[in-house]
Amino acid sequence: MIEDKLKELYQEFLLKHSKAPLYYGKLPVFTHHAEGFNPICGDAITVYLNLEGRQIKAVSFESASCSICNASASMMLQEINLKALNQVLQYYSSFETLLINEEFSEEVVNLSEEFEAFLGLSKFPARKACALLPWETLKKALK
Amino acid sequence: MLTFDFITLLIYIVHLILQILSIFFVLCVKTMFSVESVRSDFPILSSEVNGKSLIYLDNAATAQKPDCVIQAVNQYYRKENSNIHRGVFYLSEQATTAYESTRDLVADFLSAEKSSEIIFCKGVTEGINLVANGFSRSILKEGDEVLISEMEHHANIVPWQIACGQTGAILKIIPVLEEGSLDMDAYKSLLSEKTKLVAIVHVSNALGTINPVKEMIALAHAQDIPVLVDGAQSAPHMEIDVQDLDCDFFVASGHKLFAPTGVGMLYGKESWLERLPPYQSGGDMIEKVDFGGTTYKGLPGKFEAGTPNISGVIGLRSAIHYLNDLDRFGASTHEQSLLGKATAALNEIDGLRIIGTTRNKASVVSFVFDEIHAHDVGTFLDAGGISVRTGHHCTMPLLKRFKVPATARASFSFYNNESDVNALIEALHKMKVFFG
Ligand SMILES: Cc1ncc(COP(=O)(O)O)c(C=O)c1O
Repeated sequence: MIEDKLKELYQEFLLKHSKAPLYYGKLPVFTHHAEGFNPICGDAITVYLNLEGRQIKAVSFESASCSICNASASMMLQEINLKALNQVLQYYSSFETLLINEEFSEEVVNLSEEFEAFLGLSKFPARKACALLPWETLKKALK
Repeated sequence: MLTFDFITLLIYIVHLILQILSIFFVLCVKTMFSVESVRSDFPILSSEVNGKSLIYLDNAATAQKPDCVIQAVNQYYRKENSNIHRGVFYLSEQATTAYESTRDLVADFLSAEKSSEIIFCKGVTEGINLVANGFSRSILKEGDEVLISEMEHHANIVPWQIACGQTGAILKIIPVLEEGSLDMDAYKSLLSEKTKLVAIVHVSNALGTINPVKEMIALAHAQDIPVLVDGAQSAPHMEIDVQDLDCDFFVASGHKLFAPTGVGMLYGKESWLERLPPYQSGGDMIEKVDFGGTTYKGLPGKFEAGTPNISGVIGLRSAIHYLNDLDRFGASTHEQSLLGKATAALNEIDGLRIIGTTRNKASVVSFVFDEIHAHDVGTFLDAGGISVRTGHHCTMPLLKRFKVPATARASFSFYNNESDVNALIEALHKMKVFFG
């Protein structure tokens, strides 16, 4: 029961993304960056973006964070890399909606299917903040 | 030679007699400590979390409440509720008596000289704010120094940052050594004629380290510097004697002492409490209010404005009675044995590192994994019904010093048993496989 819920939460590729996250490290050249911090658990993350006009050209992050936060950052950057800024903001609200509604509905279909993994968080509400932190930091970087 | 042997023998005999007397005392007056018997005093320990029986290892954050405390609060609201220091009617007099007799009880509990040296407050945070506020309004001047340590809880950092910000005083920090103890040489050299106060944690909530506060107080007093001791974590684990420590202020929170939340105690030496201005103001703390000028009550009323947490104080009274009836020596020996077992077993786990390895520790153990973040540890353990704290434990500068973003922390109370320790260790082994 609860073990299954744990497995759901830490689905294979969530673990994979957190063990070998994509886009990890500091970009040699970047135009935007921000630090995010979750004071409750101590997760800390920095997101780097290189923009040309309203187009994302390169992304990366560095962190001292839990697996959920790292996986979320890795998947987020994969999703937004090389996209236009207005699309990025749509992704952001889709991801928020996914966490709030706890279902992979019509409203969030622009996110790739991989994101279904985050539905496992519905049983662990305290961990939603971990998944959201990279996205909030992204938003901060773009301000 | 002969006289020497005779004296040794005499000391030995006296010692033996005292020991027999103390065992006799424990047997007659208190029941000897038995973990299974105390467990039955705490109703929550028989509840379930995630379908598993609760294993509560977050006692440093807040302690569970014995049934007598829950009943006392319940009884107060059912039969005794009324405000204190006001009405002349029966209930109010009863409530006032209960409230004020708790002050006497707390004074005894901390071995204070006078009950008027005990101020009820919300807890450690408010107690420290009261003192910091008083110091910033009446003592601290530009260029003065306040000395705290790198292992303080935010409650003993931020009020001093604010007090220093308001007065131009400077906050100085005693560094922490690698094993989690204070750098005493640095402490000695940081004390100077500029130091106006030392504010120091007795037992670290993040590491468990027991600081040599008595020695530190003596060193500070040698230069006429007052000392505040944050007793949030020491009062639950050891008997406190403020006169023996000779501290100028001592603060503790009721909720960590098996009493309700929102009530705590500040002890201050009479001379210091007299010197500090009132903290909050309004009803109850006044003697006479007139638009031409108002006069304040003497101690302790001067520092207790407004209707206090009466039910909390009533709960605290019951908690202290509970502790007074407990064989505290037996309880603390039991806690130390849990700490020893947990520490040994944790050290066996590959990739796990204990933060805070000094020998003199209360039953608190903080640890990190090379590969697994503390937050994931917390979620995994919770799934098995085990409550531990994960994060920075309100000691961010300390974690920065150890270069870790967060730790998992197990803190044991006297009602924890060996099977709690075993469950923790087993779950951690399972977790390693899970995340492996
Ligand atoms: C060492 C220490 N100081 C201060 C506090 C603050 O206590 P309270 O939140 O009860 O005011 C705590 C509580 O965690 C603590 O452990």
